[in-house]
Amino acid sequence: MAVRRTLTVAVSLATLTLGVAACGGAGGSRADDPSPDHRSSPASTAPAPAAPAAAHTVARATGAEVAVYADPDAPVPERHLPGTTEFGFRRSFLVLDEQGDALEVLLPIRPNGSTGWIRRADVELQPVDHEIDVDLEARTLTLRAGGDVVLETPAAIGAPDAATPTGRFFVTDLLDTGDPDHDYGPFAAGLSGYSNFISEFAGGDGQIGIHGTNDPASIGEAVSHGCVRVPNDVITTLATTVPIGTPVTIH
Amino acid sequence: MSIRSRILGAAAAGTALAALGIPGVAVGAAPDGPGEEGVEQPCVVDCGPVEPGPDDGGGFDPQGPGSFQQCTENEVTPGDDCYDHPQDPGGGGSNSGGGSPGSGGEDAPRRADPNFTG
Repeated sequence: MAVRRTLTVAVSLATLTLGVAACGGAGGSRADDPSPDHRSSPASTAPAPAAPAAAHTVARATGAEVAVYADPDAPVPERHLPGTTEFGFRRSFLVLDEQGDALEVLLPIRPNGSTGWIRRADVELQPVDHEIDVDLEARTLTLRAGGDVVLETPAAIGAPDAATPTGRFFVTDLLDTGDPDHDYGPFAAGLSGYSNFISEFAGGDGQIGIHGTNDPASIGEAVSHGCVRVPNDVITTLATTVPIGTPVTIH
Repeated sequence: MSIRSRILGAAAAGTALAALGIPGVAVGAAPDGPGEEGVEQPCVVDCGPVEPGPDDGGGFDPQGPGSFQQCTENEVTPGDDCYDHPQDPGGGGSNSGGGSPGSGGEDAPRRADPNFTG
């Protein structure tokens, strides 16, 4: 399966930008991001102009662990990641580039934006045409499919002292809380990114996510610990629509 | 005279039918004389309850609860087996319940308590 070079370029640029803006919080707007995939639309309900289908590629682990190499020709891996997440989902990676049997992927580890190379034999490839865009300045979340806007909603973002990190991430987990009145609403989507302010939270390691809320009045405010809160009906749609591996750009 | 009547006139018939457990069958006197003419009896013979068949969840179940076997008039002879009258298809049997929900695929949300930064 061919990986789109345009995506590769876009994501590489995003990764570079991330290194500069990682701790920028709400001020870390990526207005300079030149990639079409990352360009944020204004807070508007009008569908985006016709755009080419966003064919992203997700690699899913097939074994108990995935070896990660520093470069495509490295003989020895620099690390291994478990083949499943802590919530039992197959370990996924957003594919950035390919070179022979090696795939450059965005890794779900600290620091945010880390990349590495994995072997094609260790994963299955899957196309994903959904993508999520979070605009911290506008405090909105937009879901696109094939380049078309599916929904756009106000969102709560991290408070100034726990700002939502910016950069390119992807969905790693889709959780059902079993309770619409849960702090996180009925569903929560784990992302591949981590808070730059919090290293431990509720037994977790500071992983950020997108979730619902039992405090709908907070939507649109900068009040969270770094996660992105959306109305419960929106997170329900997201959780039942987007696949694991869906790219999420926060800017 | 029907076959049934002739049979009921025979002394031996009483014993035979009694062996079938048929209630109310008049039995002719025996062994003196030809015996009294038999009395017409209802032809419907309740052969007793039968074991309910398995409920396959719908459709006609000839062996289902409440069905019974009947004999035709001309076939009421000692030793004859009862047979099933054709019956109207019964109502649908109760369903055993819907199947368990599908797994929803690999990407279906899983029940868990999130520990994201919130």
